[in-house]
Amino acid sequence: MSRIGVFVCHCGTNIAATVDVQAVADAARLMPNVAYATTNKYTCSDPGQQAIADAIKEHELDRIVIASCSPRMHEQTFRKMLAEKTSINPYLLEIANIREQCSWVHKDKAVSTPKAIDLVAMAVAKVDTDKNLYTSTIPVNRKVLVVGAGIAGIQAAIDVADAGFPVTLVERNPSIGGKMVKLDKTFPTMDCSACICTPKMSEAGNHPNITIKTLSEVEKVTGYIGNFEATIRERAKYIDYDLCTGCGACETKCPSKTTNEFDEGLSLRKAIYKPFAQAVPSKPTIDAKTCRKLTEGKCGVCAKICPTGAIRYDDTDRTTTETFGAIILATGYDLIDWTKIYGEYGGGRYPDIVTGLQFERLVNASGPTEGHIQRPSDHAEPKTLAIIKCVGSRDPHKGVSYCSRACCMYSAKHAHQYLDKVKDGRCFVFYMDVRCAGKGYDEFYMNTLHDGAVYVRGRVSKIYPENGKLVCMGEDTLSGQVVRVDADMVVLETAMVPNEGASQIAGVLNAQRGPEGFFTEAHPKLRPVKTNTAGVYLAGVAQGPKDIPDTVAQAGAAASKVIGLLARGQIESNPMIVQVDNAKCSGCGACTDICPYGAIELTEVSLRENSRKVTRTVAKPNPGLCQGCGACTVACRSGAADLLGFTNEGIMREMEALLR
Amino acid sequence: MEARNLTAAPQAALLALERILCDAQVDPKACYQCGKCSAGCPVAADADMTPRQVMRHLQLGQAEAVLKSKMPWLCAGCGMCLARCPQEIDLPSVMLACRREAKRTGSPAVSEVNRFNDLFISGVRQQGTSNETTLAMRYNLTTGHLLQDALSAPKMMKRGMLELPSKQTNKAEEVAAIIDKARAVEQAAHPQADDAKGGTA
Amino acid sequence: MKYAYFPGCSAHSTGISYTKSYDYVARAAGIELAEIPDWSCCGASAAHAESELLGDALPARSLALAEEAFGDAPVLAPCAGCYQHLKSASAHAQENEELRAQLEDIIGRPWAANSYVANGLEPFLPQEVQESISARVSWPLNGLKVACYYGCALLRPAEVCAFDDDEQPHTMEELVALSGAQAVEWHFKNECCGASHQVTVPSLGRSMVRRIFENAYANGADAIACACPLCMLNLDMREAEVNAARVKEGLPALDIPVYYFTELLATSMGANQEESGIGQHFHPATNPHGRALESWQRQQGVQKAAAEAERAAKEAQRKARAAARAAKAKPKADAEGKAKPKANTTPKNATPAAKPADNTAPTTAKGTEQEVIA
Repeated sequence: MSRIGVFVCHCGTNIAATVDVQAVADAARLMPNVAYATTNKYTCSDPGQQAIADAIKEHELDRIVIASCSPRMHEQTFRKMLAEKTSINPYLLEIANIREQCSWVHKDKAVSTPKAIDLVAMAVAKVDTDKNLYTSTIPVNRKVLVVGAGIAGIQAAIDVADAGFPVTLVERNPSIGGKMVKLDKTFPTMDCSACICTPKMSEAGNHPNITIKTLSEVEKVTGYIGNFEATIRERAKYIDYDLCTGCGACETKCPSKTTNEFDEGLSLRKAIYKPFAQAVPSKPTIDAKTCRKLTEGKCGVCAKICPTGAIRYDDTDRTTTETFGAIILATGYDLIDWTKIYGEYGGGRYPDIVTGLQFERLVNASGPTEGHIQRPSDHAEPKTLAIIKCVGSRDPHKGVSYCSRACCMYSAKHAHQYLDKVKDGRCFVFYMDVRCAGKGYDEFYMNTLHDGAVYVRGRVSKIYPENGKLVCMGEDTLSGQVVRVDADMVVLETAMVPNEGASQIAGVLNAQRGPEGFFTEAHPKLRPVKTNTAGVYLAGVAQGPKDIPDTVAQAGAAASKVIGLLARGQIESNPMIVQVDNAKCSGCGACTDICPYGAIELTEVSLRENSRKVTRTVAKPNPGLCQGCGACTVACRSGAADLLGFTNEGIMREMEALLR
Repeated sequence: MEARNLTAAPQAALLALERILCDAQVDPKACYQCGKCSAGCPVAADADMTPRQVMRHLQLGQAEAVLKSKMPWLCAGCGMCLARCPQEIDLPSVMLACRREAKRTGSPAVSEVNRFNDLFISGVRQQGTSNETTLAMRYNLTTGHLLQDALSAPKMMKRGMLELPSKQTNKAEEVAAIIDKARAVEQAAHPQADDAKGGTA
Repeated sequence: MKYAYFPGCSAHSTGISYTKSYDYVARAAGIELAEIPDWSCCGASAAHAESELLGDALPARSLALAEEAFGDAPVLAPCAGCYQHLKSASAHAQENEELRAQLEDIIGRPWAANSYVANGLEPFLPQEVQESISARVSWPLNGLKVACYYGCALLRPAEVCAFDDDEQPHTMEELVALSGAQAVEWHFKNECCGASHQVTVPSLGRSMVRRIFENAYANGADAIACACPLCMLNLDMREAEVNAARVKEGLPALDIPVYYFTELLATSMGANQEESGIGQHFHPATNPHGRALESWQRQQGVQKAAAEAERAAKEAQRKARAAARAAKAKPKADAEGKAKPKANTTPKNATPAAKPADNTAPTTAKGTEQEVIA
């Protein structure tokens, strides 16, 4: 005979305002095998937990039902309490969710109280069938995989590597550095971006614990936390990096030119190229699509000229498979392709309308115009600049509905840089709001106003060329005037969208993403770097638009979670997994087909049946891979597969209690 | 002059506001006052209020301001505002709803636009189709712009661009019945509308 | 291809040349226009202004008549205004069964609201139709630069019309090109012509028409093409007033005839003035071929001048390089202390190609050593 204790939580007024918790406790007292039932204001608090421990001792309870918020909130809390403060097995606990599934969805006490009582009755019936369960430990591999080597990935890799763990840093571009290394100056301090980013790149490149794989992508990941098996494809570089000295002779002689992605399409590069001067690794690669040797079999000048013979036209992709304990996703962002959306701004036809990143390249001393602000069409210095914010952002109709967070600050920066370099220039910034929430941010924006930037509150409806200028049609909503600005050049501050690499890795990992494509964190406030996939963490804009300070902070947070995981060296496995009764299992394999985690295999076992030794095929679950979803228990026709913690019997008892 | 008390909107104004929003099927809360509509509106610079300001007054419950304004009448219905609005607010419908409400209270701010539309419908009611010649003539006569475009008439006549009004046909009867029936349905749906819609029938 | 044809109230009055030229081209292209028997006014913007219901009810009658006579044949309304109202009524009825039933009751006729409603451009867009038109172009309008003007009703509301790209349309350009004329890129393709404001609020109406003309002119157009009788009337009839205002401000008068796109096609297919209707305009438009030739000659002149300028610039560069080499060959003592000017032009100093018109296409600075893309 079990002695069940029922504890009904008020949860302040969250539950008590809509559910008569005393009535629930009173009803629970009458349920079968319930030895004790009471209420508590905040069961999850220290005194609340202590009260349960005391009651268990006092009333000699051996199974517990807590009627409270969702088990996703505090099931772990209460299991921990049972394990540490009582002698009851932590798995002899059931949570009846009378908050999210009851008090939060009803308004009428007369409806919600009987429902809460039903939920408690179900939990009481089920807890009676629960068995002691014990966790086991899974060893955790010490290596960490970081996907994406922008500032987020680099920072996270350095932090983890500094703690002594080996890191593999995978980047799909030929160099690490991401978008930050393209920027000119960074707000609010106006530090030169490359000057603060390249030391970190260098640190990562030289760190004994970091292995960098550029031109690489993660193709496949199997396994689980502590034991991920990742297959990484390193695309052919066509150059032997051991022989290459980075002298650059090959680049000077290459006859093939194509659009330079690093300069955002504002200049050309060669087919054999180093993306930028401070690239890490500081070696070139050949772009197979534009190299004449690789496409047509002609040329071959670079091989002739290379002093160390490092060119390898016959290079192929390489794949490696390694085991990692944890994965950090730092895939970053791209800018939205505004040319496909805003026909009213010309849809890309007018060369003097550039994006914010293109402007960064123009104003950058190592950019296509050596830092002189010149418009792309005729290289004239624009005397009137129009900056348009929120292009694509906050536009549920044509763009994305969210705010891209960093653009208010970097457009103030652009205005400031322009006014600084073009002494007699005029700058108009079209805006909806100016969001300057960080340290020193608002002061920076006010400074830009003092520089002379004219902020016009209103979105631009149309931009069209007239007499060599670009006419921006707007409304200054603050004064109620319909206005136009005849600009020499226009900068569109466009929305941040998830990098295209994100969808690739999301498919591989089955990682959850939100409706806008950014990875979903486990809890938006309390677990911002974890995901719902154990062992996978997030850093940087991959999780949502943010600026560099927040990115670096989040990268450190992700690293700290990973270090915490790896420092323990092992983790507890979830005991609520499938158990197969070999006596009932016929080896039909329906469970192996249905398991989404590939956690069941068919295997041969020797059994003793009817006093004879037989060899049969049965299903064998892998406790490390099994996530306890229960699909196999449904597919199993003989009932051989049962889920510990959610047994068939337990569920039947719940139904009986409900339908009584 | 006193500050406008936003907490004290007169009942009549609130009723008018509700009728306008219900007619247009628009939720003014969605508008975040970005001004893209006004920026692309061909008449905004010449109107007493921009389209965005019309929305603003509706947001603040100030229907009287909108009913007195010329903007709803100057709206050409080109739809550029709606095409570019990030919140897809149906401004053309808002403008028409404001016009209808203004008619109900008897004060169209741009009487020429109102007269033209009324005459157009009454012409169609009589003939089944619209005759531009009679429309132009009646418009000139009833608005006092007697000689507007008068010089073009002979040229147009010579080029065969003026059609003489044809005699009444069966279709005119059917069309008149449709107009009357539609009006009856509208009347039933909006009992507060006391003025007979559509001027001279 | 057979269409249930809705002429609209202006078909035999102010829109007479549209009707004539449309008929001409349609016949040549093998398109059958079966007039909807007993059709009535679509209601234009006036019905819609009175009530949404009336705005849908009037078009519904003619759509129901089309169904009765021609089943599910697509309905064709060459007038953009009629097109927009017929299409809206159809769309509203398709989305809302209750409304459709109510409209059926009001019009007193059965109406399934299934037919497709096409605008004046659509019948000519399929490849085979374009080819059959092309085959009949006997006197192309080569050299004529045409600004294709769409106005509002063909494109908006985009949800209803779902036709072409509503900010950067190109279908009329495709058709006008068949006549041999050259469509220019310009920036007021979809801006409103003012509709009935030309009558009710004339000053506003004129400014709306004026900006259309001025942008077409700024982009090198010899003529404007359109696909709506009201747009045509507004532009054509009011050009004189626009010019009067311009002259008063000291600006030159514009000579930009306005054509229906079908007039251009018909003329290039050999139609005479009577058949095409180009003799019935306000602004003189009867000699498009002459205009085309003039324009072509002008363009040739401009192109020649541009090529000349480029050649001269290259020659100057060559001479400068030669002079620099010669200076270098002098005794060192002479040249001591002087900084030698670099003869190679850097990308920034190359002369951009002379532009015939404002930004007709993104111009790349010409030159072979360019590293920077425009």
